This record gives sequence, C-alpha cells and structure tokens, in this order.
Amino acid sequence: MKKTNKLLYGLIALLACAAVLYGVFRFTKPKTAEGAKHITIEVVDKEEKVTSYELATDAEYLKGAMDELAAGTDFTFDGSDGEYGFFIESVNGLKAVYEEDNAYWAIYVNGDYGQYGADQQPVTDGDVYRLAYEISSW
Amino acid sequence: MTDTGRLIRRLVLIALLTALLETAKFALNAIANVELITLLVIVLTRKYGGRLMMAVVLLFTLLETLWWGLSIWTATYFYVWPILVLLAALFRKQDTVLFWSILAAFYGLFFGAMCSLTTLVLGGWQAAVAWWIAGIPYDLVHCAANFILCFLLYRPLTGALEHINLSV
Repeated sequence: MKKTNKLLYGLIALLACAAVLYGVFRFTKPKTAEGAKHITIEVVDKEEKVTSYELATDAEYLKGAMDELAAGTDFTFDGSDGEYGFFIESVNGLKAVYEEDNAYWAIYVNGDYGQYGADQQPVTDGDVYRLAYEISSW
Repeated sequence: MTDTGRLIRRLVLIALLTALLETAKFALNAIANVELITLLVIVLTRKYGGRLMMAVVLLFTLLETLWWGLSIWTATYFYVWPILVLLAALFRKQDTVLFWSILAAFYGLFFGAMCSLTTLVLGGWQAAVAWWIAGIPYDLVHCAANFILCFLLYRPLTGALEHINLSV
C-alpha cells in the first residue's frame, strides 16, 4: 500500500512538473504580432552572395512568412521537423548537409543570431531576417 | 570459465548491446522525440549492471559521433546517457513497471534541460535557458512517449532478456 502511494505521488509530481514546464513555455513564449507587417528576408549563399526579398505578410512566425514568399517568388526552401522544431535543410536549392561538412542554415534577426527555429521565430514589422549558409566550427 | 573467457564474453556482450542501441536509434530516427534508448538502457542496466552499460552507452555515443559528426547534440550524449545508467543502477532493485515508466518520463521531460548544459558552456546561461524553454514542447512529447513505451514494453523486454539469459 505504501509503495503504491509513493508511485502515485511520483505520478502526480510528474504531471505537476510537466504542467509547470508547459506554463513556463507559454508564459515566456515570444509575443507575435497580428496583422500586416513589412519584412525583409535575405538569403546568404555559400559564396556569401546576398539575395534580398521584401514581403508584406500577415504571418505570425517566420516559417509562415517563408511559405508565403515561396508561393509568390522564386524563393524556395525545404526542411523537416526535428527534435527542436523546424530545421531548414535547403534554401533556393542550396542544401546544407551537416553530416558531410558541418554546414547548416542559420537564422539572424536584425543582425543578431536567432534564438528560435523558423517555426517559433515571431515576425515583427520592419524586421530583417537573414538565412545564412554557414559551416559550424564544431 | 577462465578470466580470459569471461573478458571475451563481456566484450562480445558490449558489442552486441551497442549494436542493439544503435539499431533501435536508427529504427525510430524518423519520429522526433520518440526513442527506445531510454527504455533499453533501463532494462539492460538492471540486467547487466552499471559498469557494463556505461561502456555500452559510451561506445554508442562514439558511434553516433562518428556517424553524425561532433556537434552540440552528440556532445551531450556523452553525459546524458551515463546519467541514465547511473539512475537505473541506483534503483536497480526496483521492479515496478509504473516506477520505471515514471522515471523514464521524468528523464524525457528534463532531457532538454540536461542537453542545454552544453549550450551553457558554449553560449552562456541566457542562450541555454532560451534554448531549453524553446524546446519544452518537444520535451513534453519525449516525456509522454517515454512513459507509454516503458509502460507497454518494460515487462515484455525484461521477460525476453530472462528468456535468452545472456550471462556474463
């Protein structure tokens, strides 16, 4: 009986921890802005050539804006859902294969290294999002 | 059995169990945050002990690093799996499905927090906390998946291990 009670407490503690963590995530989640926003998406390829796109979008997250951009221009991208969100694998046909040469697509927001994946990065009016092909030193 | 014979048996078993972990990892690679490694490490540590399993998880991590290259997440494997081996060895005498399911679920829930220690070293505490919080939804999936898989497969796997009875 005592053992069952302990396990029950363990289960309750687990659910409580999960709820608290979910709360932390919801509370600290970056705020998104509704409505029209004018943003710039820049693509920096292997040779550091920059291609710039201007976009008027209602998307709340960068991935949504990228989807809109891909539907209306020659911009293309591909990726997959990984352990920590949407993982950009290729942009404008240029594929970054980490397993081959430590290459990956980095996201910069107004020149600063992004803290979120494309599906969690909020879109704000006037922001410049840079998708850069980079080689990790790791 | 001679000492050499015993050593050879242990080496073969380490190789076999490493291959088992690697196969399980690749089998579920396509489903993000659903993995059998946690369950296998728990069951195998209970059966073969912490020392042998420590060698297995380190070898497994080395293979992962050779396959995927040294990155932040492969570096985290060098301590996250040994932590699980230590936990499983510590509670080795427990044989309740619910106990191990809860432990596996906790491990999944705090997997991101453990992994963010590498980001802490490389990018500072702000980057580590941001990285951990952004990954919480994925940790919740990991937590639920670990609980369900352990709850359903702990007994069958333990039974199968008893049945084949590979002793060292």
